[in-house]
Amino acid sequence: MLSRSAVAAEWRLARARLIRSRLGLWLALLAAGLAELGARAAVPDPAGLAARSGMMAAVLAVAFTAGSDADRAALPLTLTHPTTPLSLALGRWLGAVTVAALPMLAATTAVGIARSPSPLALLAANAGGLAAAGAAAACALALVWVGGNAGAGFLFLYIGVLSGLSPVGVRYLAPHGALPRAAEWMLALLPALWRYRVLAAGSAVAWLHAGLWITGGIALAAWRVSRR
Amino acid sequence: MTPALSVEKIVKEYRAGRHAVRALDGVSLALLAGEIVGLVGANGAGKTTLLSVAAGRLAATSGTIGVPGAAPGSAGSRRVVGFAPDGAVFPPTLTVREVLDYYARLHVSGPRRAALVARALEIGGLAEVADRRAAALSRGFSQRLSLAQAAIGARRVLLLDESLSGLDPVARRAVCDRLAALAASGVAILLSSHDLAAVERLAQRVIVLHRGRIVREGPTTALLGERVLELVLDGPADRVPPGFRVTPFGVETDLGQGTVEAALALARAHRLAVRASRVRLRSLEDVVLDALEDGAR
Repeated sequence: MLSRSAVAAEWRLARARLIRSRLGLWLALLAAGLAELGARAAVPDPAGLAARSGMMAAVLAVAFTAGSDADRAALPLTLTHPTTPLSLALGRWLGAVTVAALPMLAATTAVGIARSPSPLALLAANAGGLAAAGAAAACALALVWVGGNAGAGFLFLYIGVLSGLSPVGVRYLAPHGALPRAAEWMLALLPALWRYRVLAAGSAVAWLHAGLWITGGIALAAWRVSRR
Repeated sequence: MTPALSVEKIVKEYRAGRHAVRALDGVSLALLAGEIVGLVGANGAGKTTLLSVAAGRLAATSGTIGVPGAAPGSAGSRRVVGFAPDGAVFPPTLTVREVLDYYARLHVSGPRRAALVARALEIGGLAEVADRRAAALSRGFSQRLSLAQAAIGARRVLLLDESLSGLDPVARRAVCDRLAALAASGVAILLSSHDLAAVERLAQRVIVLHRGRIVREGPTTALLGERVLELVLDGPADRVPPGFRVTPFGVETDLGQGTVEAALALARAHRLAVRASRVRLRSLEDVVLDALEDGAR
């Protein structure tokens, strides 16, 4: 069902993409931009910064390591070798999370130096950010293997623009209409910044939500690959 | 002798709108160790579908695929059955060597992997492009990389889809030699190709597929053993004798058990102005075209 060497083979693909594609450049820009915003914020929010940078970087990493047409077209050939869809999905997810951790750590470290939050708060923020990145990567992986990088583009914009709002906030801002209700559902179900910001504080609901997305997203992605 | 791969009554149906299209209709075959079998037929005959089903890349609607000692579709069967699809796509940004290393990791771990990659590079004749990006390869090299990844590891069966197309004559001869060497080492090869001259030279057995069915199958020597009498005429034939076919230069007939003299006498009786005649063995192209005509009837 799961092969360690097959997972490692998929995980290693991320390194080549980081160096040889524009992924590295985009991640550096993302880290620099978010660190700058974090350093200028009135109140330091390392947990929010870690969650946002981790999630956005994870979606970018999935788009560059699994979502391109060529990547998806190469999957059937890989499956003629002794591997499994689950190994494939787990390896790509692991690679995306590993890559996403780099800009996240860079951004939180830069803000930590500028605004000097406690090392413990930084550690908790990075742990939460890693879980948020994991959930976003799993969600993005399932989306790109269903519909290509359009799914990753949607998720990236959603995380960057909308997901800081909670469903309660949306109801307060727009109490009527089908679109706000759809947004409410989306914010409740999909990985979202408003929910994962509290991962660092140890919110059990947020950890459960992230855990479910990690397992569910990887399983969904593996199922999608097995149907190709 | 236990077949290295057996295919039993495979049926594969696709949905095309409201209709079901039967791409394979009860195909059965067995591949023996060390044997090269040519799979030929017109476009759309079902060759690629058959190879994809045999490789476990497509699920059959019904029928069974058997690999000794491994469950169908399992990692064990994929360890011994390699597939080289036509127009294969490899993980982007990797070099040829890295692509092979990526697949090799799925077969073995540790220092043995380097030996597998080196052997695959040798089988594909890819040493000169080993450090070039796989995505930038020409079609010929891409086909060779497809073959190399199929042969990686302990593959005992190779399913090759048009692996000889896009190759220049020198590369094609080299790949044919490597395939013959692989077969000599006990690997069973099912080679789908439109290059009938190469199939004629390589394959011990030929299978002709037409509209998802096997319409002719047999040892290459038996299929090609029949003699053909070709007659070059001074002008077009007014009346073609029974059993003769019109060709661009005159007429020809399968001799079967008959003699050249008898066929020439029949031609003279029909007042054909014979300028020259020659006897040749049937080519695989003749066999395939006849089989496809029979299958179409």
